Amino acid sequence: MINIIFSLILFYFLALVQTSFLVHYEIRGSLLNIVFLLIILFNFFDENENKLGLVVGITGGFYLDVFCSSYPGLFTLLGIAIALLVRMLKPFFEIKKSISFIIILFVALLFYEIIFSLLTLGNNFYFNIFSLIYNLLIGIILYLLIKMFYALVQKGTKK
Amino acid sequence: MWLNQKNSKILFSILIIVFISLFILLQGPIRSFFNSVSQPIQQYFWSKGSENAGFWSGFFNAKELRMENKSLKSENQLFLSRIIQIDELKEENRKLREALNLGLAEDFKLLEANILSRDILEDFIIINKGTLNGIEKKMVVINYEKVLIGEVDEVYKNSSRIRLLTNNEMKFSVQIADTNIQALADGQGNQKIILDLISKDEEILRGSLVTTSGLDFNFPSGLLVGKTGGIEKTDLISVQKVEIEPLFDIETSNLIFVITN
Repeated sequence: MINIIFSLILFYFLALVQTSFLVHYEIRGSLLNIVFLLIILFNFFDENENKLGLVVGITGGFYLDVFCSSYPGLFTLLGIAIALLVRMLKPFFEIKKSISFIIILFVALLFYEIIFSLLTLGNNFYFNIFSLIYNLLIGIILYLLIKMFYALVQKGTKK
Repeated sequence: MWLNQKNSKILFSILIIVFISLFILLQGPIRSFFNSVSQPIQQYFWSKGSENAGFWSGFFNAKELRMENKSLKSENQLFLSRIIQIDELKEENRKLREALNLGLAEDFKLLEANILSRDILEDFIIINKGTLNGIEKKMVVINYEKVLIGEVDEVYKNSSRIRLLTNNEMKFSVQIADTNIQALADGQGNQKIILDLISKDEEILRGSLVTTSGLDFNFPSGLLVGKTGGIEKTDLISVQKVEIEPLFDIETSNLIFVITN
């Protein structure tokens, strides 16, 4: 329960950062989507029996729906879809964890970009490959930071 | 266990459908509530973001910046010579206004507002003024330089959604400054805008100023829109398309004005 409340608060602030702060740091038409990157990370590290990752998908998507106006419900559906996709892909990549993460991150981001490109189909189809690379790189950095933090915590508990 | 795995998946799907349906039905009040509650944090994040907005663009657009700098220098020379002309015209204009008994206060009744957030998918922004401040749908939004930003699309209690002029549903009539050329400005989304329906015979110079013509009654005439950019002419069609570089920059903007009259 505490985890759910924590994710509700965390993703509220992340959605605010996303829509009010990160929108200023657009690089060649691509935005860093911190909310979706964290949905992917949560679901990657979450055990499949545990449902926190799904809650995070719904929460993150819902907040983006609140603060972005375009298609109501779209981000909630995308959040759930990405959470489910990551969980579904995990068993197929029982290789080195970091390589497995990069593959899953790439597939999830590709899925996200394809959905957005399809939405622009009626009006100047637009697929932003740079956005995919940008988010992929930041996703990998976040993954490494989490791993480092986790290693530090483990070291601290052993002492 | 009364709820097996299959049943729990069905229940989960139903709950999600109900949740999204409720959100669609109640999106107005929900957004209004969240925008009201989050205003101070959003304003803080927006102002911090706009302060450092040029940081990345400098890194990634160095080549464009050099070219822009070069063209700005040559434009500067041109403007210096025009300033002298304008000063003379200003004096003449002042005398004429006095003679015609016209004040400058006739322009607009303005309500200042702050930007709270920007949509990450479409060209919309949220501002911190709503029905409580007298904002209504279709009101025009400009900045302090009288550059057109967009129009009010949705109004909540304490906030409003603004459709930017680059939004792909935005169409309005414009005119190219110092000419009689009228055109239809067509928002393309992703902060892009083009001019359509201009006869191929019309000669358009790159860098010409584009202003609203006021013909379609959506926007008052004379508001700045942008500068002409790339021109696309083909033998197949009788009209040409002209790209517009919008003069407003949402990333570095903070304070904007809603025309309330």
